[in-house]
Amino acid sequence: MQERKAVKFAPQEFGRRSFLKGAAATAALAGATALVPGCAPRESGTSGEAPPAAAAEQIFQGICAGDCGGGCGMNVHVRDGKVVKTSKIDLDDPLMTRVCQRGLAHAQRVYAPERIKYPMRRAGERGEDTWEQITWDEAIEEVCTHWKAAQEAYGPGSVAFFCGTGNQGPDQYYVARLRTAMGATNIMGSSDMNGLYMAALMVTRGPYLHGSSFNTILDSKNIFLFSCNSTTSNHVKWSYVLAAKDKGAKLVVIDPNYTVAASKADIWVPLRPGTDAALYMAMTNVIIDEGLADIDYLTRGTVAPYLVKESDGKYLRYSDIGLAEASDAGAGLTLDGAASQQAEVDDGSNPIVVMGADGVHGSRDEITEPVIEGSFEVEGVAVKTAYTLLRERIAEWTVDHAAELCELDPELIREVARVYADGPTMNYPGFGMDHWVQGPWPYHALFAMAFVAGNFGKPGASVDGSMQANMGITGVNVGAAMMFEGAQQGFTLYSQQVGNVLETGQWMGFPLTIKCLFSYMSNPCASLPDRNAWMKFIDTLDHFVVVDSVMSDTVRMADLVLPSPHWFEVETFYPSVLPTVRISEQAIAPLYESKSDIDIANLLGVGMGLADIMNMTADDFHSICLDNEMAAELGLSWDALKEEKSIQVLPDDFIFGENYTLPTPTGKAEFYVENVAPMIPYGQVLDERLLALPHWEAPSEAWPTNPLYEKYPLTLMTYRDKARVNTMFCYSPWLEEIFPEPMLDINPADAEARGIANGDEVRVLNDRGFMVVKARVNPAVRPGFVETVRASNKERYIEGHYATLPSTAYNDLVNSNGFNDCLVEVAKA
Amino acid sequence: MKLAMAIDVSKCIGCKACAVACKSNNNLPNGMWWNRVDMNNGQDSEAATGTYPHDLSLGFVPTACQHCDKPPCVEVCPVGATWKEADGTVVIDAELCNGCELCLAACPYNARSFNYEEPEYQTDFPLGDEDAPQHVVFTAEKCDLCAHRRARDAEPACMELCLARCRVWGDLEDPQSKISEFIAGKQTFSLLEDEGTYPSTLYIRQ
Repeated sequence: MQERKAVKFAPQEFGRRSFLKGAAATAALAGATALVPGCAPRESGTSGEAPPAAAAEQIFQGICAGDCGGGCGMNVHVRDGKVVKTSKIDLDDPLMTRVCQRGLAHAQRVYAPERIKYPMRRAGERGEDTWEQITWDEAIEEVCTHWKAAQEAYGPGSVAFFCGTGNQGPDQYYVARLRTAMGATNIMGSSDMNGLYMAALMVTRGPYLHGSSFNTILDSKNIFLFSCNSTTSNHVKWSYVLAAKDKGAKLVVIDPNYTVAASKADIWVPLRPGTDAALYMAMTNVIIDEGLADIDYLTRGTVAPYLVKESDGKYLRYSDIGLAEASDAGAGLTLDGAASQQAEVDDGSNPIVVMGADGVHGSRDEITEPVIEGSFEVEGVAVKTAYTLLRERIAEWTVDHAAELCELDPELIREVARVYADGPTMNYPGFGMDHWVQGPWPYHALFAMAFVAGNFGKPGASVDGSMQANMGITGVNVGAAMMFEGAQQGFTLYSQQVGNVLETGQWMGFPLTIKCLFSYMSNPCASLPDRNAWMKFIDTLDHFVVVDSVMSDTVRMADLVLPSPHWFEVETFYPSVLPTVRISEQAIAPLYESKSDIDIANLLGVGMGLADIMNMTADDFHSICLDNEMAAELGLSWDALKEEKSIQVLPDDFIFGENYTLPTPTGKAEFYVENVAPMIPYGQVLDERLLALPHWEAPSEAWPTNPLYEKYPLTLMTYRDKARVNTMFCYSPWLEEIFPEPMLDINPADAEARGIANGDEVRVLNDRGFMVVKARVNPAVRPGFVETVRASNKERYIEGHYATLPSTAYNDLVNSNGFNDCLVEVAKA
Repeated sequence: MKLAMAIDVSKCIGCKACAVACKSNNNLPNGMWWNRVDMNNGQDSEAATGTYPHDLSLGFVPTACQHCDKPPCVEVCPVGATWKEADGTVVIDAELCNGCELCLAACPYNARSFNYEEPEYQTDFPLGDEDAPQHVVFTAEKCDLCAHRRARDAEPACMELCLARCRVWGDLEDPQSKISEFIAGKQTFSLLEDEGTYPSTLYIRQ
């Protein structure tokens, strides 16, 4: 193990301040001479397998920038100028070595028959899929003519950009530079954000990024998978879970369905979907009642001792009792994708008051052993500790109460609570509980439980799974190109809110008419919920441009299509979930007439008269992303990366939140969220007192009290399959040969009640839409629930489309899609 | 020497990375898979058997040529086109194969494929290893434990990266080999033991 060095928590540096630095860097680089992008091929055999002796084969390091976020680096083998295969790159930590079945099929994706070869203009009706080949010059002129006309008539916001997760590398942020140069509207297709945002409120108060080194799971006594089938969605990291199990760790899987992960578990907790928060609060009660709470961690590492005023739910600060001037410490925050703005951290001038065991109050510095429980009056102000408020809040969730709601054996709840408390326990959440309209709340309860049990900020007790996000972002400022003189942050809204804009012609009181849409790195027509509503929006557009490398549902709806290359056809880098930043080398030149996203953004920028802004080369852009104080400290720069291919930015034994310290306003783990702020403010009013502490709320749609439940008694949930990641990898013949088309998994009892046999074609429907797929009668699925893969392009469905079924409902805190909160009925087709 | 494969099926997650690596590196024609991942419960695709939430069963069995010690495919071949090598692998010589398909019928593991037509590929240039085997019309073919890769001291393609780290290969007769260490102290079983084929592919169910 390498020598331990002090590591600043990266996102602290990744906030507003480093953006400003990036802005300066951009200005300096803006006029720089273009550098020719290099791609020095390595000789065969420098990593991974030994190639055939006489092979004229070149090997490049390519990064799979896919939607799973795994960011696997792999050898890209090139013979006679063609990508012929991909193979693993052996890493120092053999458990970290990664490439999956999709990654191994990349050669087919590069040469997919569905590749878009040249710019195309729609020849028939929208969606008819007939095309006319045009030149790049014609394409750019057509787009810019529409954009200029729209912006002149309806304002800058009338052109909207939509970026999905089709390329997890940094280059999307250069396209965002064009957006900000134009003052265009930013439509975001928000998924997976409920948990990440809730956790950000509690442990980073800003960025979504946390998590320790993968290998700390080897110190875990238990691993708890919370609604996470890590064998499918996170399977390049499953090796660590297995290694921990081999060392004796107990695996507990909390999941409504008998997933492959559940099949490997020591204990499977088959809870009722949508009740996760109640289960965690009940487990927390068991942990507290049985004396298993980690009082030391609560006292030193969390906000437990802080006194909260009964009058307004805010912390009692020195200014409340005449000992200091009021300040705006701990003010709320808003997050906007990459542009995370951090709250001001308490600077110590107006400390929060805690109470000593002797009844003397003071700051945390003064009272070394504060009490964590109790109600007091301090200088006439009625207060309670945050921990007492937590206990009061969760008190209703007794084991019996939760057992009834979650449809679990009370003894099982007690058992897993005891196992959980007997840490170190690794928290390994997935997105199963996130994809609900009420998706943030289970994460609040989960993190509160982790803090109470002391399963946080320690070796073996951290956050893994889908929340262990982007460690390798340290020192990387992908937003560097978005800050420049004259940048205009236009409107930002979520895809779910587009319908409202269409209806009212306004956004937050400002007139907004969207006439043109530019979609890149995304397939919103197949991936967003309520596809029919989204298609209505497309219908209203004057002009719809889509950039993609392969055909998709979205491409087929376009008026104009611009071809982009496969990831291995451009040079870029990847800030990944690994503790490294790595180069993604250009293995072959862009195929056909495709152009890189950066080149396309520049062409459009020039066409829009923004040549003085949209003039960076890929090299310029990548250089400024890696030109900041922290990068310099780490020896990270674009030149260094080109030389070294991979630069480690976090030590092997990095533990997030170690030594009782977190980058929150209080510096502590905040199960009590003092200033709840929405991810994107649009005038909504949040119930701050309610959201300060964990709570359970019934699913918005998929719950028996909903009158719709009588008509649509089944809840449609989704999983990620092994061939695709959302619609990505749709066109890989190999994967299609061995993985099935989209199906509907249905419990035998539900199938029998509807006369459905295995393999029957079934119609899955609700008031929003329908799909026809084959049924797979599968007892792994909880009765009352059905499951399908999310999602595929239309041709994979016998009829209809999955994406027509889920709704665009969201909660006011996060605006993240609640795919699983979806009632349907199923009948034989 | 006895080259063999050992697979801990208690760990397998059915990702099929082994199968895709085999397909890619051997440049297998469209529709052909030497290496496949079956369900242990007889289901066609990834579904459990049993009753929710108890008694559920779900598991995977990666399967390819078992490189049997008593290979029925070899016994039935009328032209001597398939035999067991000294290293323990069962191989086929496409030049000798007369396309009678008797070996396909004889193999209880359904491990052999046949080129009924001129092999077709997704790309008009070969993918995979430059020295990948040729695929010849009217001949049988199957896993040869990647003879072409072993010839240059590389591992079989299915060993590219087992995500569950549950697949190990090597010389069973060498007590120091990875496979010998992997199975040491563990109970192993073979597929269709009743067939009397004595496979070299060993499975572990912990």
